[in-house]
Amino acid sequence: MALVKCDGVCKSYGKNSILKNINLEIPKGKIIGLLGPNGSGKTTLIKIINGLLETNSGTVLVNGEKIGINSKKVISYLPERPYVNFNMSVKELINYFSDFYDNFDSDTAYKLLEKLNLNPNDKLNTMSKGMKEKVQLILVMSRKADLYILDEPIGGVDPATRDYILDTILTNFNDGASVIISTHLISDIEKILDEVIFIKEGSIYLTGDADELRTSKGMSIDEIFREEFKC
Amino acid sequence: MLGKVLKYDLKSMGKSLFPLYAGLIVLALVLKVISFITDSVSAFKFVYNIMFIFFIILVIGGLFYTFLVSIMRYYKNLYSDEGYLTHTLPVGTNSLLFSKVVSSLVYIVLSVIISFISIIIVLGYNDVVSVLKEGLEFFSLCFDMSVFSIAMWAIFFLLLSYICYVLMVYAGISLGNMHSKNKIVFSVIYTVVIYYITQMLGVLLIGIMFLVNPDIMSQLDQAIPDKEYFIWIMGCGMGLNLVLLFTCYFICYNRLKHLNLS
Amino acid sequence: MRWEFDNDRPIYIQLVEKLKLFIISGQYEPGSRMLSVRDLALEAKVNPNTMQKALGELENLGLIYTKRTSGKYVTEDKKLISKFKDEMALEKVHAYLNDMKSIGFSKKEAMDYLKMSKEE
Repeated sequence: MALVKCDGVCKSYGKNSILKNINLEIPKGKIIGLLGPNGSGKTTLIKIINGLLETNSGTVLVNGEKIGINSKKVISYLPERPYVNFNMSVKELINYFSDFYDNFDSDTAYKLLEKLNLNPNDKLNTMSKGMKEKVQLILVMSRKADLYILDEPIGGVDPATRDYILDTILTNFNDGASVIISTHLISDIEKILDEVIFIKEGSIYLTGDADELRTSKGMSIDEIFREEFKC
Repeated sequence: MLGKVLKYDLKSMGKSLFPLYAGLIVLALVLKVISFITDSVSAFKFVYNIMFIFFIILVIGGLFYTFLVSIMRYYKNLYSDEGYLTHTLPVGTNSLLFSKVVSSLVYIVLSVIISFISIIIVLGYNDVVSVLKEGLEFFSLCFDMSVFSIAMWAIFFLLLSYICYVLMVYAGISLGNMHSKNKIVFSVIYTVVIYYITQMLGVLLIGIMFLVNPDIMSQLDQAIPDKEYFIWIMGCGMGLNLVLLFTCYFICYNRLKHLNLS
Repeated sequence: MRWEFDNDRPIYIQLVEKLKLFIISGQYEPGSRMLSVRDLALEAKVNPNTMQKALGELENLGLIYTKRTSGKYVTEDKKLISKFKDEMALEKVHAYLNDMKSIGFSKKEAMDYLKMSKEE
C-alpha cells in the first residue's frame, strides 16, 4: 500500500485553479523531490496532505486512511514559513513536541542542538533567522515519522547551512520512512533523490526514478527541469 | 489530549496575564500604604486620588484585557502561522476548541478573583462585602431564594454571558478566515453582525413575551416584581444565551473542520 | 575530494565506480569491514537507498560480501581484486589510446609520449 495516495485532487480559490486533477502515489522508503517553479502548487499540495487545506474534489489517503489524527501522528512537517511560537524557549518547544507526538525523541533533539552550541533555555525570538530555521528542522527531524514533508527547506540559505540541512535530513530520517522535499533549487539536492515529481501550473508533469531519468535523457535532473520549464 | 492542549493554552495566556495580576496586587498594596500616610500627611491625599483612579482603570481595563488575551490566543494559535503547528498535532478539533473556551473561563474567573482581592486590599474587607451582600439580598427577595443560591445563579449567569461574548468573537474570527484577504477586517464585520443578530433576537424575545403575557411590562416598572415573572425573564435570557453559545461553538467547530489556512 | 558526482549520470553507477576504485586501489583493504550503508551514504552525501543499490551491485560482482550479523566486508579474494584492477587498467589504456588517436597519434607515438612523461 502506498504511503500517500492522491486521487483526482483539485483545489481552487474562487476561479483561480491551483491544483488540477492530481493523481499521485508516494511509496515507502524513498526520498522524493517535489519539483516545480514558484507558484506551481507545491505548497498547496503539501498543505492538503497535512490537513491544512481542504480539497475541492478528490481524495487523499495516508496509510489508507483519510487525513486526520492518525495521519498527523505519522507525518512530520516543516512548513516553508516560521510556524512555532517564538515566545517559547527551545526547551519548551521540545517539551511541547514530546507532549503531543509519541514518536518524538527528545534525546535526538538535544544532541542536535548541542552540535549547534545552542542553549536550550534561549527563546527563539532572540535568535537569527537561520538559527530559528535550524531549530525548526531539528524539531521536525527528531520525530520517528513514516513521512517527512519538508517545504522549501533550503530556500534562501547559504551553502554551509544548506549542507547542514541536507546532512541533518540524511542522518536523522527514520529507517523505512519516506521524505518529500519540495524545492525549485534542484542541483543542490538532486543527488539525494530517489524519485522526482515535476509539478507545473497545478498538474503533475513528470514523475520517475531519478537515475532512470538521468539515463534516459542523458542529463541531470536540474537540466531536465530547465528544459521542461523553459519560459 | 485535551489536558495537554489545555496545559499549553493556560501557560501561554498566563504569560500575558500574570504580569497584570502582579501589577494589580502591587498597586493595591501601594495604595494601602499611601492611605496610612495620608492620615498624617494630608499632601499625600492628592497622590492617593490620582493613583486610585489609575487603580480603577486598571481593574476595569484588566477585565477587558483578559477578554482580549482569550481572543488573541484563539486567533494566533488557530489561524495565524502558529496554526501550521497546532493543526498538524494529532489532536481532535473539539479538544482544540473546548480548551480555548475552558481557558477563557479559567482566566476571567481568576481575573475577577484577583480584582476582588485587590479591591478588598484598598477598600477594606467589611465595606466590600457589605455592598455585595446588599445587592445579593435584594435579588434574593426578588426571586425568593437564599442568598447562596442567588450568588450561584449570578455567577453562572455572568459566566454564561461572558463565554457567549467570547464565542461570538471566536465565531467572527472563524468566519473572517474564510476570506483570503482582509481577514481581520472581515472577522470584525462578522463579529458585529453576529452581535446585532443576537440583539435583535433579544428584542424579538421580549416582544414575544409581551404578546404572550402583556402583564410583563407593568411588572418591570415595579420596584420588586413578582418572582415568577422575574424567573421567566431570566430564564428566557439564559435560554437565548445557551442557544447562542451552541450556535457559535458549532460555527467555530465547522470552520476548523473545513480548514483553509493560508 | 573523495566523493564527487556528475549530476548528469546516474548516481548509482558513479557510486559503483567510486567504491570499486576504493577497493582495487587498496583504500578499502581486503577483508576489512565496510561502514554501514547509512554511514557510507552520509559520507558520500547521497541517499541511503542509492548507496544500498550500489553495494548490492558490488556484492553481485563479488567485491564485497555480507556476514549475516556483522555487516559488509571487502572480499579477501585478492585474485578477484587484481582481475578488476587489470580490467580497469585496460579500460584506462584504451581510453588514453582513443584520445591520442582522435588527436592524430598512432599507437606507437602514444607510447613514446608515455615514456617521455615517465622520465619527467
